[in-house]
Amino acid sequence: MATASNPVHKLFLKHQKDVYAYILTLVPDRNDAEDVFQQTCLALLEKQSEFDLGKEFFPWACGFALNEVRRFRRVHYRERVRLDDAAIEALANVQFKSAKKIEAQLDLLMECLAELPADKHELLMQSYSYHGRLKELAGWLRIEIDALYKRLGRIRRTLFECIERGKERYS
Amino acid sequence: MENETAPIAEARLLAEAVCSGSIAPEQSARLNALLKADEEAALTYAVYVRMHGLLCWHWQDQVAIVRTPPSPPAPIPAGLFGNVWQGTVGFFSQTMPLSYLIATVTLAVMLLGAWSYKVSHDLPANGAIAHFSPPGERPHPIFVGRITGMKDCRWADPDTRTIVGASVPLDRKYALASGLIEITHKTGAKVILEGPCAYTVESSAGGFLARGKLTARIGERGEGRGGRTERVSKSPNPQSQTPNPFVVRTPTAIITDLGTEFGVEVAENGDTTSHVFKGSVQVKILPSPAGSEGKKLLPSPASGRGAGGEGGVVQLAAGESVMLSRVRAGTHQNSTPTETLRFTHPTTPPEFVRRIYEPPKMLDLLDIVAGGNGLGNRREHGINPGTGAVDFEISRNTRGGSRIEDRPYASVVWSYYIDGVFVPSGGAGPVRLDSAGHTFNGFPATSGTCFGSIWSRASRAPDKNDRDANVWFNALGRGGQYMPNDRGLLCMHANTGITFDLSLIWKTGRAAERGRFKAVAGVADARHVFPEADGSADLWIFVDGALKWKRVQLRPADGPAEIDVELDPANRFLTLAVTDGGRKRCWPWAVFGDPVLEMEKTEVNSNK
Repeated sequence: MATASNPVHKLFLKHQKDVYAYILTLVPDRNDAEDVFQQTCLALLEKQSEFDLGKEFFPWACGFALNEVRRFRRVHYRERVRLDDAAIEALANVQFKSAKKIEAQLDLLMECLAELPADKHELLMQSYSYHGRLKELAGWLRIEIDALYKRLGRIRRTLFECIERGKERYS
Repeated sequence: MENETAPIAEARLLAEAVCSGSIAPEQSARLNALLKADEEAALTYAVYVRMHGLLCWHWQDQVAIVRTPPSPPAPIPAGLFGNVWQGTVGFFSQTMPLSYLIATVTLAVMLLGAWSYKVSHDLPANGAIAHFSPPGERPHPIFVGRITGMKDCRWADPDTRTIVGASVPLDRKYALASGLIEITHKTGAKVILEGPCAYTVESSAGGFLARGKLTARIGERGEGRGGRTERVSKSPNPQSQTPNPFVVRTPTAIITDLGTEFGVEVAENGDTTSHVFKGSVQVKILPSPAGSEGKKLLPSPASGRGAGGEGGVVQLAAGESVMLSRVRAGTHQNSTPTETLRFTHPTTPPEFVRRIYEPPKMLDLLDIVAGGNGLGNRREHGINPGTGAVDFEISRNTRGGSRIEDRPYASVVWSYYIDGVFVPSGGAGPVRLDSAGHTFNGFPATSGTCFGSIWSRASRAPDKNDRDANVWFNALGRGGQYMPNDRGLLCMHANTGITFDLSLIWKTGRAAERGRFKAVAGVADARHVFPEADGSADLWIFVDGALKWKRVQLRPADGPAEIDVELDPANRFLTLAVTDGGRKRCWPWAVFGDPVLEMEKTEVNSNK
């Protein structure tokens, strides 16, 4: 496959999930984030020849993602979670400045995920892989939607605390 | 956390609200302020949400982030290619067509590469399933299938509860007190568990049935059997090291698929009864630790093949059953002290459930109008009723200029699920309802005016400070009476119509044999914003051009009207239309709340 021999494509494959996660911080709606991710992919493709292989790919890709976020916000001004322009810039800046720190933390995610008890792991998996609305999922699980939100919130907090502990360990 | 400052704690809480989708407008405002004021809080928010994003990515393999890898380019006729090439001799200097072509192909390769990379996280081409974690660490769960159907489940062991759509990891146990579960393996094999039963998934092509009944269905061409190098459970039992065929292990037997569909029942005492519906299976006595030398197997009077169970193995053909039972003193006339297991024929063939009723599948028409496929939750997009183009923003303008009834039926080319849109008016004669040419001649003459888009509105009303808060369908507020299930509103000003194309909906994986269009319709009451707006509208629903439901001069005071229209696979088009009956300034603001297609399977059943 052509992608195997193209170093930019390799880097893209390596960092695509991080680019998506970065976009999600700026465009919190998952559907919107996917749209921006698509556009970012196209922009990266268009400008791939301009990438300097001696530099880091992820910050370079984040620059494109940020541009696509700005473009998206000009058209789709009805995002439900509306971050204003200054907040977006602040978020982008802090992620740029602390890129290594964030990367080190998030590198621990899979390890932290593996430390979750099986029932929590499964609930998280069911929720993230479920196609429908969480309300329906709660119905299947026979729990109240608020209870499901709380459980998921607790699990995410556990994961977050785990990667935070890791940060301290690695710092 | 122990040393968390107040801004950081607040950032984490707000990040969680964002991740759960439950953030309130005032929280949104607070988040903006916090992100700008406190860098550490911004960092906390970023890490938390990026963690959420990675989890989305990690588990979204069934809904690829790269949603639609472009199709490989169709073969280009030599002449056409020649023309492009000849026309782009100067391509490398500036010409666009070939570069565009190359970019498209490269993009396709790149996105397909991205897609396959993502898929390969879970399932490499050879069927083996990769570990995420480095060697020596706890392995990531290995998923071999998905729960694709359930009915009336009660759990013998609550810890084994599951839901439709859940992934099925290796070593997962299901203990049912009653009810049915259908597991569809990644290999394509379908297993129906019938409670009471206890079943453990041991590989991508088999499992251990401790008790109860199951039916296994393997594809006609062998889909459903494991790959050559499939991963198997870490179970120490050597019998679980299943080879390619689909294999069900029981306390006394190993049933190996040699055909396409079979049932297995394990009694409380471990006796195993196997029955073949299609194809054939091999039933083998499970070697005991003491060896099988002591076993003596009775000849099978009914079955020619495998009669006698030579070597502890019988082969069953379609329609045949065999029971493998433990021999106890006085149980069988021919038993000897050395016998432990023997094949017999059950006096009555066992009964198995071969198909499962699935709960109704819901297709969300709001998602479709907003550009989705009916399985998602897209909102806040619309369609221009005059042209069929996507409206990303709410339009306030009159669609027309000229008399709108002069406009032809407009195809919606960007959606597989929407046939087209139109502007109905009886004043211009029969109105075309769909691309098949069905027409309706019963619309009254209209005022000839329509406003804005056919819009998919989210259930949550916008903040009053939102610039679109005063658009009529937002001005009605939450409109909860029209959306008991909190899905949202399909908003249609009078003199607009939309036709959904059901053909792909029937085909694409739903396997539905009947369906229903359901919605709660009404006329928006926005008088608190527009005091004079005591509206009225005529609502119409057609299936393949035939009128199925209508309400004339419906007003807000009439309240919600429930719609329930039956559909069957022969139906191709579902049309919704709204007219104003020629009444000028009648505020004809129609909404269809929670509009869905409920698809049902009628396929069931058992061999009873």
